[in-house]
Amino acid sequence: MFQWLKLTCRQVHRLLSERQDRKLGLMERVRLRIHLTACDVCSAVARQFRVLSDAVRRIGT
Amino acid sequence: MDASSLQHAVAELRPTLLRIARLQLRNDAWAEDAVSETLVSALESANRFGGRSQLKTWVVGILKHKIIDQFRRGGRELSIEAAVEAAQVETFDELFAEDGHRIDKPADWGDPEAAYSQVQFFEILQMCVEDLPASLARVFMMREWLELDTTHICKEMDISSTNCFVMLHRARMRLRECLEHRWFVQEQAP
Repeated sequence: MFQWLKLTCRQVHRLLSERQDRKLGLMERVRLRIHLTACDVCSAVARQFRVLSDAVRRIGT
Repeated sequence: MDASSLQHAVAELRPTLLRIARLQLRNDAWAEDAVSETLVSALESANRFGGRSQLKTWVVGILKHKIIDQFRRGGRELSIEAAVEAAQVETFDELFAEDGHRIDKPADWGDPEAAYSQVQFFEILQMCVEDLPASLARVFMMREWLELDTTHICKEMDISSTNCFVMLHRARMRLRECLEHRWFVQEQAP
């Protein structure tokens, strides 16, 4: 049941990057949220991508 | 700040500006042009610099515009290189099991503010960006440093939006890996 809601880590890594570049659809957001709630690895990568963005914006400041 | 000390202070920024311009444009001649134009423009409009922001922030703001102009002039050369890069496939298979789940847990990066407070961190970050293939670095810096939207970037580089998303993802994955190895894991080592 709810198998269709599941994303793999590979797919989630892609979405974590893409959400910084485009607005994700509702279903994408729901599936991402569900995955992140259960997955430490992808949650860590989500934080790392944010740190990366933050850090790059500080170059030259 | 009087005119001559402002002139001096602006000229002193040149090496910093050049490094940033190279990082972003990945072409020495273009970077030189963008920086020269920035310095001229900064000195011409020096009366508009009221000391409201830091001089460096103000000049870097001008540089951003000059870099965008330079990209526009890069035209065909830029889009040919981007097309070659867009055709590359990178699967990061070492990170994922066959069912698509991640094999290892990435390191905990701790409090990023601690990293931001260190000059060496930005040194490593820039080295990691320099290690990227040119087009990946350009697209990534256009998105994250120039803060252009992807529609604009795709148009400038003449690539599809799908290619653009894939290239940004590849750049982030590589940079994540590079920072982890060259900064965060080193940091935590005893």
